[in-house]
Amino acid sequence: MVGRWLAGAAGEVRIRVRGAAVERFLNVAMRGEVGLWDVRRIDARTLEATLSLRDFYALRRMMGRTGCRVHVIGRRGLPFWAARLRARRVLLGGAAALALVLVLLTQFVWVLEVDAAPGVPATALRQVLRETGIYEGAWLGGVDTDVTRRAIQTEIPEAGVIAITRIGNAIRVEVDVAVPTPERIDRSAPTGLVATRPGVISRLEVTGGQALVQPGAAVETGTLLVSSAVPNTTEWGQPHRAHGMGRVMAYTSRTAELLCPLTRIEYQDTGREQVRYALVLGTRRINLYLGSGIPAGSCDKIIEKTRLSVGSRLLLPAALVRETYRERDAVPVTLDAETVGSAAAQQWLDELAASLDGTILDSRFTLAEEDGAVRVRITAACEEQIAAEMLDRTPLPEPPEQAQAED
Amino acid sequence: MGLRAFYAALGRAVQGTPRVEVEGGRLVVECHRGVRAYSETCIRVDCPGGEVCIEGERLTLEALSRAEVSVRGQVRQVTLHRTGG
Repeated sequence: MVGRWLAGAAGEVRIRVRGAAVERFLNVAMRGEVGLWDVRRIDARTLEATLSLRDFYALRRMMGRTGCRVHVIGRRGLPFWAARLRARRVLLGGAAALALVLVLLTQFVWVLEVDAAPGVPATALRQVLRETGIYEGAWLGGVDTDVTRRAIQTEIPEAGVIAITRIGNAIRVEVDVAVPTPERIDRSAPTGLVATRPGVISRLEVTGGQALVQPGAAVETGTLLVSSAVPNTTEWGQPHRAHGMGRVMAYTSRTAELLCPLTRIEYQDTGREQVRYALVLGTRRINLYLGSGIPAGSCDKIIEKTRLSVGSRLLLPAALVRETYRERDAVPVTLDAETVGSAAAQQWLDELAASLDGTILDSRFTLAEEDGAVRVRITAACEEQIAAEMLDRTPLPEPPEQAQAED
Repeated sequence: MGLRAFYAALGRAVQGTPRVEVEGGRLVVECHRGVRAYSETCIRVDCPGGEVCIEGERLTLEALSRAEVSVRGQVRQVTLHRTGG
């Protein structure tokens, strides 16, 4: 079957054979290694058959022996198509020019997507990309992603992981923010741990220094929990300085007072909609509209961009932009105090839970309505880590007198 | 003589009895020497030692080459007529 298709592409001819003995024609063709297919008997003196262009030329030399006459009734395949096209030089030239333009256009960057993580300066990033030859309209052959990556690392210290992906003639640059290197702990520094919040100590995990409090002790903000001055022990023999480290968990109380308005603005569609089109050629935009009947301030704007492409990988510098404006009205909505207060309290508790180095054990809130708003007072009982390092100059304890007397 | 032509000639020199196969809705006759008669109702194929007669309706020669004759259509009967005892 594939061979038949290839033969068809190389050119095939449909012939009509007339003669007193068409079987003789068939046998002469067969002995001459001429392949025939789709042979149909039309009447007693006529048959039709298909053969390749090459075999047709070979058949012409044998026709004298067959006593039949052959008429060409159909031609198909590339050679005939090319011959027809040769006569249409303008069409051929136009097609070639179009192909050339398409090939040329696909040699440039037409889509540049920059995805900079929050904290990475996007303007500076685009500037670095431009300086290293990555911009819309740049020649693809001049793009060196390694050079660009090194330039971003040098010029933008906030940049962390950099990914430059090229798909066809679209380039996507993703830059993640650098993870700051944690500060090196100076274990020789004489530091202690102090309480950052008032509370009641629940448990201690001290890995350096001397613990000064025990579970159940009530502490205030700034109370020294772990000292750098370690007294005489059997392990060390002498009092010494240590780097106070560890976690000190305490029962604490967190409170907040929020004032929330009972009326809020909600936006509702009016049903009015307007669609505008624009054509983008390269970096130039051509608006296909005159003005707008809907002010942009009170509208939802939906932009759909359809880019002209050859397949899915080769993009052309032309795109159709469809902008849909949906008008909406700002409508004030009044809610009851319970709904607003509960939502505000829950949001505050969620934020607290996300930021807390510990857990929320219990919570409660009260509501008080006043002048179109609700005042929410929230109290949360927590167990959290309250210790923070700071320099500790507590004097070292004196060695025990008994030990001195023995010496 | 090329290798392909040599093998074709060798095949013809040693060819034996005709071989008839039905495959994919068509009837193929191998080891033949040509077509003796061809109509829509009967195709007679010359073979070593006799002829194969294919009878039916709307018969067409799908392909004709030195190696095989391929027949498509509604085949009712295939007969082998031996000649020369």
